[in-house]
Amino acid sequence: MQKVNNSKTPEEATHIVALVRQLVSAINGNATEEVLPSSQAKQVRLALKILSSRISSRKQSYVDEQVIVERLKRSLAKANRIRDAVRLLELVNSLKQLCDNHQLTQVLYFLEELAYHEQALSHSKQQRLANQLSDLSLDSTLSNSSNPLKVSNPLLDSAIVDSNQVKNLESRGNEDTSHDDSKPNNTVREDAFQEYIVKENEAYEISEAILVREAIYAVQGIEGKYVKYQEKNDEYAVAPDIGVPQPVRELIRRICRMGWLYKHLKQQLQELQSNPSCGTISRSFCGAIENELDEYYEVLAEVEAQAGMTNFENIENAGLLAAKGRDDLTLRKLFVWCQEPLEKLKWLSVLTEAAYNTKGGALLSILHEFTLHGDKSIQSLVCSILRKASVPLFDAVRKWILDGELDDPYEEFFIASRQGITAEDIWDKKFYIRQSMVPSFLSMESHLISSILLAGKTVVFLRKCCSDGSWLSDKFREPLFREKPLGYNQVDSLRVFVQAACEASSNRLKFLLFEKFLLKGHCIALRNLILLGQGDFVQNLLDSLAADLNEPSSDLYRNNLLGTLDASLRSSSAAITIASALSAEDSMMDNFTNEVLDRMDVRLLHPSSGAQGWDVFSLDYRFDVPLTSIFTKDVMEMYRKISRFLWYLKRSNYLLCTTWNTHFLSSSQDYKHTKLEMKPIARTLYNKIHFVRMKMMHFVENFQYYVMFEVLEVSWNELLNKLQKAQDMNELILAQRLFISKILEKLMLKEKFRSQYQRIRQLLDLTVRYHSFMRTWAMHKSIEDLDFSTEMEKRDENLLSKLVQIETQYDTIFEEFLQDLQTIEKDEIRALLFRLNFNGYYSSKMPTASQIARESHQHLSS
Amino acid sequence: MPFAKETFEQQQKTERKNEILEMSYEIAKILETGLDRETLQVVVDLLEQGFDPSALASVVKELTRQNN
Repeated sequence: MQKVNNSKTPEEATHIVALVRQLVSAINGNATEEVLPSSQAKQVRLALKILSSRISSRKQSYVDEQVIVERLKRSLAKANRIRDAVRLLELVNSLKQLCDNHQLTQVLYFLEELAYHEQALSHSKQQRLANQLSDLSLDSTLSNSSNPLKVSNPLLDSAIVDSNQVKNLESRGNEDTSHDDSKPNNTVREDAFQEYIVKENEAYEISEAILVREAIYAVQGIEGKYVKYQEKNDEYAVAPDIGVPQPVRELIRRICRMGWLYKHLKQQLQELQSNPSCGTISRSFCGAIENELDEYYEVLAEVEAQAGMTNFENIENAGLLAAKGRDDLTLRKLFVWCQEPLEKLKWLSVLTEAAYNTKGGALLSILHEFTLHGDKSIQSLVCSILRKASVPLFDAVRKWILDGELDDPYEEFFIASRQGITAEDIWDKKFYIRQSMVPSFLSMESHLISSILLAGKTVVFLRKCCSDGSWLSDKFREPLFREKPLGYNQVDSLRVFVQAACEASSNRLKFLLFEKFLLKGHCIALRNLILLGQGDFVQNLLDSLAADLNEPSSDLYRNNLLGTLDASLRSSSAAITIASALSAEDSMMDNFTNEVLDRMDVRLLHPSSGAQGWDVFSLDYRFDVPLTSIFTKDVMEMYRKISRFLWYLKRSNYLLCTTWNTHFLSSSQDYKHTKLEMKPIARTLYNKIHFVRMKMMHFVENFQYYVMFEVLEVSWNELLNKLQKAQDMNELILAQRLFISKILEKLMLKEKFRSQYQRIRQLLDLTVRYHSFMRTWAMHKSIEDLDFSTEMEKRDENLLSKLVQIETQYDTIFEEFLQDLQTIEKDEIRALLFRLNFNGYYSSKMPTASQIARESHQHLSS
Repeated sequence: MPFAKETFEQQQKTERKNEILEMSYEIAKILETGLDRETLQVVVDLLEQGFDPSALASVVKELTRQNN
């Protein structure tokens, strides 16, 4: 079978089209015009379609004109039209001479196909009329009216018969479109053909170009004339009542998926933006998505241009051209093109969905997860969106680091501030890291995050506490402002930036703390005054306060004590010591020393009944902002604790010294009498007094040495070093705390050394008792001179027994103390132990470790 | 003469064509196809182009059916 269209040149093709048009107009009974009415145009298209298809092709290889003629003859004979049959033969013969065989065959074939077509047509027309009439008329007249029609038309009857014959004719030959074996063969081809016609006809109800246009509208979310939003399936599709063939419908539906996605995306964006608590980061995220959509629009515009949609007159021609397979935008091409933007839209939709209920850093974390996708294009898409969305975050970081400002009404930033914090606690408590808002691409850098916090805090601190507003607008900070804008994926530059900012502000803070607020000077003051480093001051104070503090605590008045304190401060060389330690100019030092002396204070603890003044008295040092951030309340509390302990120690020392005084004075008096005259008891008493005093002295002095030199000095050096090397505020605070806690530990003031501490206290208490004993003894001594009666002996005995009591108590406690000390594994304690041991005197008295082990073993086995 | 004359061959050709057309028209009438001369002329031309007769026949059938 010949295929026509492929081998034709364009001129021939146009010629064919012209011919077809002619055909159509001829059939329609019109003269051929230049511009056909639309129905005729449709028919032209249909004709072309059928002609270019194979639906009507029949195997013709065996057919010959002879056969056809035979067939025709037979049919005519059957219809009793002999004359016509003869005439036919004649015509055929003459035609054979005129034209070639092949052409004749074709014509005959054609005519055979169309044979009796006229009657079939008129028959169908009559049928239709009959149907109409029967519909209109009443039942009673139905049979009457229809019958005459039937009866009065014998021609019609024969036509009916003939049309059957026509059908028979057509049933010959195999058709490749028969798909239903149940139907009789003769109708199969008819049905197939009819179906084809129907489908093709419908296809040309709406041309492809129009469908393409509609599809492009749908892809932007706009409803067209034919492609509308179907509520039922929640999609864009061709309205079901419009005649469009099934595959085309399906194709359009798939293309319109993009339209649905687009609409959905827009909706989601709308929701996101209308949410009142949607913060700046969410908004910039929406902006990024909208940018992507704008790009999508641009590409769409190109496609539209290609579809020639800008010029509406082209639609008709486009349809024709499309039918001829020209190079233009078809639905299929549109579909293929759609796949890539579809992918993109899908991902945008996924991102928007994921971002739904989140904000701030958490939103960025979620987006960051998507960058772990394997596909490069998706990765780059998400990256670019993330870059735009994280712009507010980095702006906030920048502002925080450079200005210490936190403008976060939607709580998106990972640094947050608490309300209602006093100036003292600004450093400590005001700012904290909101962990949930830390974006995941920064969460690995915990050092970075804490540096950011530090840098900002320093700036805030400088502004608020040090009232250093001028520096912030200084040109020293110019380089920081010139930094490149920070962005996502630039963690390194962020790190560098934060580092630089940190250094700059910390250096400034350090400078201020040391120069303006004289941090070091205050530390020295604390050391000397609170920690009783200034010997002459301490002595003076002890001298003045000794009498007062012996009173019960309820009788003490702070003001009085304060006055005494002040006096001793000024009379001591405390000021000079500090000044020399700082080695600064005199004028400034005067101010400072005055300030220092002003800050010294007396703090009285809660007076409990029966407590002496000694128990409640403690020295204090008042700090102001900003130094309160370093010397916080708990730090000062520890200072006071240590101070009290040291004060107690000093007091014991002092008391023992006074007993020596008493002893010396009284013994000098004794020289007036000869030693030989002393009673043995008196002599024992005498000796014992010395002995006890010496023992106590030994302990107290060695312990004091330990405290002053091995504990305080060492830690103090460390502190000074650390203060020098400190990089930022945090380190300063840390150094201070470390200093104090080390001292606490070494002085056994911490909980784990409770037993040792108690022993020490007991020992010191004993010294107090000894002191009071000495006073009674002294009183006795003074009376004794005047009275040599035996009552004195009894008194002496009493005194001796008392002293013996004190001594034995002291001995046991001391030994226990030494044993306790042995359990502490520290070098300094070992040294202390060595010294307290008094050349091995005590350790020889104590059982050794092996002896203890032996005894316990014996005890167990027995 | 200003315009070209038809050659003899061409004249003969047209004559023959007309004859063929006439005879085909008669056959068409005998077979009661319902075609008129004009349509038949076009059909013959199309057949000459090499179109499939049965396809053409289907086209004509369909078009006539639509027009009714």
